[in-house]
Amino acid sequence: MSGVGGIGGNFNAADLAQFEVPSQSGFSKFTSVLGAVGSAIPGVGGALGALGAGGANTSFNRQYQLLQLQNKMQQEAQMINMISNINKTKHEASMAAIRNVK
Amino acid sequence: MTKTELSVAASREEKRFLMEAALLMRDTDRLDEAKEMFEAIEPLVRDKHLPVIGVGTIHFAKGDFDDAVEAFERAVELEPTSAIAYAHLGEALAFAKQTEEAELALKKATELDPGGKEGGEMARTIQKFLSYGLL
Repeated sequence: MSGVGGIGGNFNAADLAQFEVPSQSGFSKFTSVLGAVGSAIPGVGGALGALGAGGANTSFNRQYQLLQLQNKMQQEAQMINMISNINKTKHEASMAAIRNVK
Repeated sequence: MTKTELSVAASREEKRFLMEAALLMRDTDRLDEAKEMFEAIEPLVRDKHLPVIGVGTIHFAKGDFDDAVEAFERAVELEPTSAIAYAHLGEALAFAKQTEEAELALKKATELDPGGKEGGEMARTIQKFLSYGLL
């Protein structure tokens, strides 16, 4: 199916390799600092540290979410393409039958 | 709309026009009117399976897959060599979750119309859907 191939062509290894890792955002810097401060306070360190670690991964998570979203959009586009193909073939078959109605 | 007996046979062009009009009604969501029209066309044509398929597509559009299966089965009985009837039956069976029967009907449609223009291609497209587990 050429349409599906076309959509698939927008999502390949070369495109993925071009993804840049964004520089550390203000939020992730803040959470890193929180983690460091928290480690000095008993009981609070763990929670703040975890928050800090999450913050450091925010840009990666965002990229991952973007890829997931792109993947989902690709699947939906394929689905729409297939449904439209069914409708097209249905219509063509109906019209062919009607043209020869006796 | 009431059913009337016509003493004059409709010409081929008129039958074609009526069928196209019924399809247009269906595709513009005037489902009940389209169904009545398909039912009224049935006595006028020799290819009786075509308006019966039309009625089946109305049930299908309403989501009444069991009624759609029943209509398409009747169409297959009326014209056992009609690929389009088998293709529609296969689709309705797939939506009614009768996958094995659906596969058989779709296979029959592709066998009856290997060229694809009269239902075979429709059946092949639905087969792809089934094979991807999307139905």
